[in-house]
Amino acid sequence: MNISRVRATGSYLPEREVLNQDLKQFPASSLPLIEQKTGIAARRYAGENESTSDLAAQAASTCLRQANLPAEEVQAIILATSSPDRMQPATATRVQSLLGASKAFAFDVNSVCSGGVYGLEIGNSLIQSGVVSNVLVIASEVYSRILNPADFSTYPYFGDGAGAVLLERSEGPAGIIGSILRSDGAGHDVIQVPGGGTMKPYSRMQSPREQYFTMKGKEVYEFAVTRAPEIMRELLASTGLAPECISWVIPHQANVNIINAIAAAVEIPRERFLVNLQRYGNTAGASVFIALDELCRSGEVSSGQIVMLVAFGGGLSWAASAIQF
Amino acid sequence: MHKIIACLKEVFPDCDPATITPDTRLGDVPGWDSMNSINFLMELEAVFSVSLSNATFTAKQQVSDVAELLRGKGIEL
Repeated sequence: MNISRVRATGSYLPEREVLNQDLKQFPASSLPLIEQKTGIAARRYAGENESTSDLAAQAASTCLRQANLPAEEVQAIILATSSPDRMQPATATRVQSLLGASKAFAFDVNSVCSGGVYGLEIGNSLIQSGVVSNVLVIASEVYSRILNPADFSTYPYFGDGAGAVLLERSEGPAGIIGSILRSDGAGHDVIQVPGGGTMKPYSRMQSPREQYFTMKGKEVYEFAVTRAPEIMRELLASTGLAPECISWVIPHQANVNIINAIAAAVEIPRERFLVNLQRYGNTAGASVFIALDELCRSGEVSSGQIVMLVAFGGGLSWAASAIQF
Repeated sequence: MHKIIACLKEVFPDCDPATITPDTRLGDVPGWDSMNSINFLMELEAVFSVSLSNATFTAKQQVSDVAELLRGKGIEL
């Protein structure tokens, strides 16, 4: 049996913590709304000289140390990010250089907040197809650089961070049991950074605001609370797993109200849903990996337990994966 | 009133200024939600050079309520 197992995980959160009350550009009377509406009390921001690849390399280094695997033995690096270092080349290549993973090939995946789960399934496919026997899947985001500091509808939600998962070929039974990836391009403009690409180069932007991340909040909420439960049920059906088989659910850490609504819509008790967004905010594609690493480091996940990851975000895209530990 | 409508258009790009009247409910402005209502409040503060720090807008309020608030701050519309 050829299966991809999680050999190790890692994460990195920048040192600088920003509390809601530190967001002094907004009216003081509005600040309690942040926690009320999202559950977020704090977030981390990357240091001035830290970029997405730096955070990714930190998380990956921790992961490789935990696995006791030299970087030169890594065969592939997949970096999920929607806040890349540069338009090109792939941010993953700088991560490869920082790690010294000289024998790997490295590329990026941009599925916004679903990116981590997308990357995981692509890595799984590379292993299952025999292309490689191990893959370092990293998700890293520095949203503090793509958000409008004056936009109350986005800025307080997000934080910076990175997570990493080392997958390796195994005989099983522990490993990725199944995954489902979905997207709906009709919603391509619901979440976007309008300026800076070929559709609207910087030279053609009508307002500096177009360089920043935007989202249609109500549409995102409706999308998330509909699609996430749907794909979780679909994954249970396709893998033959009963809801009671799922020991932990790691949802994308978008908003605690979204997570509560998802939990209410599926047959898995709310207490099995991990939530850390109160400390880190929404770290976009990295959020699921950061929470997975916290779970693994807590020692609360035991051999044989099944963890379900579910993510949703720009594209629109959504994805779920079931992993046995 | 046109300056208030311009503020709405700035914060809610999907709204059509031609459809906004004093009776329009703020909650009916495309894109309106409680978080964006803070952006609208900040835009009003910047455009009218006024402090609205203790003000809040709800979806049930109308554009005319915004005008009344501003007039109460001595702004001529």
